[in-house]
Amino acid sequence: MTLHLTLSLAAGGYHPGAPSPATPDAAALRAMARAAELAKLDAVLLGMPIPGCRKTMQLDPLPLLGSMIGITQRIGLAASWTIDFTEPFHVARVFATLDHLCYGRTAWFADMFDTEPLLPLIGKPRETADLATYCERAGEFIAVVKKLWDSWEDEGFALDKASGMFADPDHVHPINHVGRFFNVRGPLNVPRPPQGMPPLLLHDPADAPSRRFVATTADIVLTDSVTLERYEELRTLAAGHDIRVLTNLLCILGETEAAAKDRAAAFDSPEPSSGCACFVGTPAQLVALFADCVCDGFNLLPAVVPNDVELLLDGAIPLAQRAGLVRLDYAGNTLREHLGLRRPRSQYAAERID
Amino acid sequence: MSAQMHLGLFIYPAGHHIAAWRHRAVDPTTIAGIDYYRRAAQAAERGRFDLFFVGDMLAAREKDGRVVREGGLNNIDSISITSALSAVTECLGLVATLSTTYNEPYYIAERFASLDHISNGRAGWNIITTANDDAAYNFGQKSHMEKTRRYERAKEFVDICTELWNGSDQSIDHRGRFFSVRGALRLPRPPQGWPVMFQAGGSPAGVEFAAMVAEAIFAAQSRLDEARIYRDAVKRRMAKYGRSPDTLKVLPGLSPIVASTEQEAKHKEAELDELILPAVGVWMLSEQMQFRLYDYALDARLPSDAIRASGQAFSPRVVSLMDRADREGLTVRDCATLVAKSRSHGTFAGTVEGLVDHMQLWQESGGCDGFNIMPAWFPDELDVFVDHVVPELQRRGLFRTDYTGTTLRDHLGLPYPE
Repeated sequence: MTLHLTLSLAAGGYHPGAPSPATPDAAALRAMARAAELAKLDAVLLGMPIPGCRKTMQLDPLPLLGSMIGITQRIGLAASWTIDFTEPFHVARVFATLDHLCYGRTAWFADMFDTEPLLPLIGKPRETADLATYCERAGEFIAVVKKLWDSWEDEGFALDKASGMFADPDHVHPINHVGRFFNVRGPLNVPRPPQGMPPLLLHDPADAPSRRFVATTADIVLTDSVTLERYEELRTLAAGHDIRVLTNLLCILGETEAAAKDRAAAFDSPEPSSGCACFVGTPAQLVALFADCVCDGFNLLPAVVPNDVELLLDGAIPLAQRAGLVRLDYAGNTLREHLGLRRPRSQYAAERID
Repeated sequence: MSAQMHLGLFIYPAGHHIAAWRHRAVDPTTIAGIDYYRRAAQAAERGRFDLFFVGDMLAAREKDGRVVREGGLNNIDSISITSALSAVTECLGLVATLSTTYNEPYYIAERFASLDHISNGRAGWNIITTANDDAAYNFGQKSHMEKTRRYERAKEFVDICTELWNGSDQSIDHRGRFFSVRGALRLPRPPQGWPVMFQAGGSPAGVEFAAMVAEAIFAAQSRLDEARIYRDAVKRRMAKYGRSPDTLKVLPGLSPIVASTEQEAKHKEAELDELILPAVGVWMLSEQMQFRLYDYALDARLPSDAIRASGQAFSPRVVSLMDRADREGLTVRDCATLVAKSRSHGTFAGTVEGLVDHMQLWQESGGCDGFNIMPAWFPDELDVFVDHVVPELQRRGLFRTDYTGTTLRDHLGLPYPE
C-alpha cells in the first residue's frame, strides 16, 4: 500500500510564527502547486484552517483553486468553503463547475466548527447554537449538495445532435428537497461532475457524536491524531463507507536535525498548542515517520513557504519514492482515482434500479 | 476621430445560437472543460479584446418541472471560469457575474478582491439581481424578490463591497436595512481599487442602478435608434449622482456571422437556423414573456395583445420584439427563431466590411462605446472575428492594435477609484 499525501498551501505558511506576507502572492502558490504535481502528490489543499494558525492575508481559496486548473494536469485541487453562511446550491454549482473545468480533480473541504471569526463580517447569527443541531444542519447541507450533484445522471447530459436532445429529461431530476434547514428544488444547472461527486473532506472533530457524523459523511478525514486507535475508531464508525484518513502534520524541516531545531527555536511564537502534530527534523527523518504511518497518509502543512515546501518536495518525496512509500507516477487522471475511491452512481439512478 | 471602441467576448457553452451545440463544427462534449474556455480566451487576447464576459444563472432551464430537452446549457459558474483563465491569459479583462440577491456582501467582496489580485488587476463584476422564480426555489424562497426591493438590496450590497475594498485592512461598521457587516477584508486593496462594475438590466430600475454604480453596461439593444435613446438616457442620468458620462461604457451584445460574401454568410446563418427545433424557441419566448405560448399554433401571428394583457412588467427587449412582431406580422415561429438565434441581442450576417460598417455606424452615431461579441458558435466564429473583423477594425483606426495597459480599467479607459 502506498501512502496518500496532500500538501496544504497558504501564503506565509502554517506556523503561527511564520513571516506574514505583504501581498497574497498567487503566482508563488501556483508554482508550489506545480512542484507538488511533479512530486506526484495526491492533492494540494487550499484554505485549510488549522486551529492555532494564522488566518490573515489569505486569498479566497476558490478563485485560487480556479487559477491552478490551467497550469496543472493531474494533481488534485481541494479548497475549503464553510457551510455556515452560504447555500448548498452555490457550493454544488461552484464545485461541479470546478470539477468539470479540471476534468475531475477537485475536492471540497466543508469547513465547520471554527467559523466564529466570520460572524460579524456576515452580520448574521449562526443558525445553530448547540452542537447536535449544528451537526444536523451540516448533514442536511451536505446531503443537499450531493443530491444536486446527482440530479443529473450521466445519461442526462445526452448531447444527441441527430434528435436534438441536449438533456434527457428522464435522467435529470428536480431534487425537491424539503428539510428542517433547507428547501431546494433543483436540479443543478451544471451536468454531473466528472467524479460523480468531488470527494468531501472533513476535519476529525474532538467529540464522539460529531466524529460519527464525519466518519460516515466524508471521503477524506483529516485528523490531528497520530494514533492507531483513532484510525480504527474512524474506520469502525464509517461502517463500511470507504474513507481515507490523513494525519495533519506541521513540518519544520532542515538539511540537518540541528538546522531544523534551530529553525523551530527561531519562531517568535511557540508551536500551536492546540491542533496538529509538529514534526521537526530532516527530510530523511520525515520519511522514516512516513514508514511508520498508522493511517492512510498525511496532510502536510509546511511551517513556512516556500522553504518547507522545497525541503518536502525536493528532499523528502524522492526519498519516500525510493523507499516505495509513495507513487512514482500517477496511474489515473482524477482525484478519486489517485485516492482509490470509486466513482459513485447517481442516487437517482440507483433508486430507479431498486 | 472619436474614441476607439471596446470589445468584450461573451462566452457561452457551444455558442450563443441556441442550436450551436448541434452544428457539425461543434463538439458539445467539450463545453465544460478548461480547454474550451482557454481556447476562446486566448483567441480573444490574440484579438486584443478588452475583456472576457461570463454570465450566471441560478436555475436549470426547465418547463413544467422537467429540464428542457432541447435547451442546451447556460453558463457554468462564472467566477470559477474567470479564475481559471487568469493563469492562462496575460492582459484580457475577466468579467464574472454574481447575484446580489442570493449572496452575502462579505463573501463577494473577498471573492472579487481575490480574483483581482490573482489576475493582477483584470477583474470585473457584472452585478445582477436575479429575477426568476426558478432561482428562488433553489434558495428556499417561494418567489423572487420584488424588483424595487431587489435593487435597494443591490445598492446596499455594492456599497458594503466598495467600503470593504476601499478600507482593505481597515475595519468597517455597516448597519443598514439589509445587512450589518463589521470587520475588514483580509486582503490588501485590490490592484484596480475595485473590480470594474458591470450591469445588464434595461428596466427603469436597472437604468437608475446603472447610472448610480455601473462603469460598463452589457446592453440588449438590436436597433440603433433605440440604442441611442437608451445610452443617452443612462448617461444623462449619471449627473444626478455626480458622475461624468465618460466613466460609463455601453456595450450592446452583437452576434455576428461573417463570410467572404453576403450570400455565403446568409447561407451559414440559414444552415444554423435550420437546426433550431421549434420547441426550444417557443420555450425561450415563453420564459422571456412570462407567457405560455405552448398552446398557440406555430404559424399563427404572435398573440401580442394577449401577452400585453397578461399584465407582466416586460423587459425592453420583450417590448421591442412585440412591437416588431406587430409591425412585420411575425408568427410565433418567427419570433421563436429570432429569440433562439440571439436571445434578443443584435445579430448580423454579412461580409467583414459590412459588419465593420455596421459597428462603426453604431459607435460613431452614439449607439454604443463598443460591443460584447456573442459568437454564434465556438470556436470557429470567434476565430473568424479575430482573424478577419478585428484587422479591419484596426485598419480603420477603430480598435487598438495592441494593449497599452495591463488592467481592465486601463483597457476601458476608466478611472481608478480614489
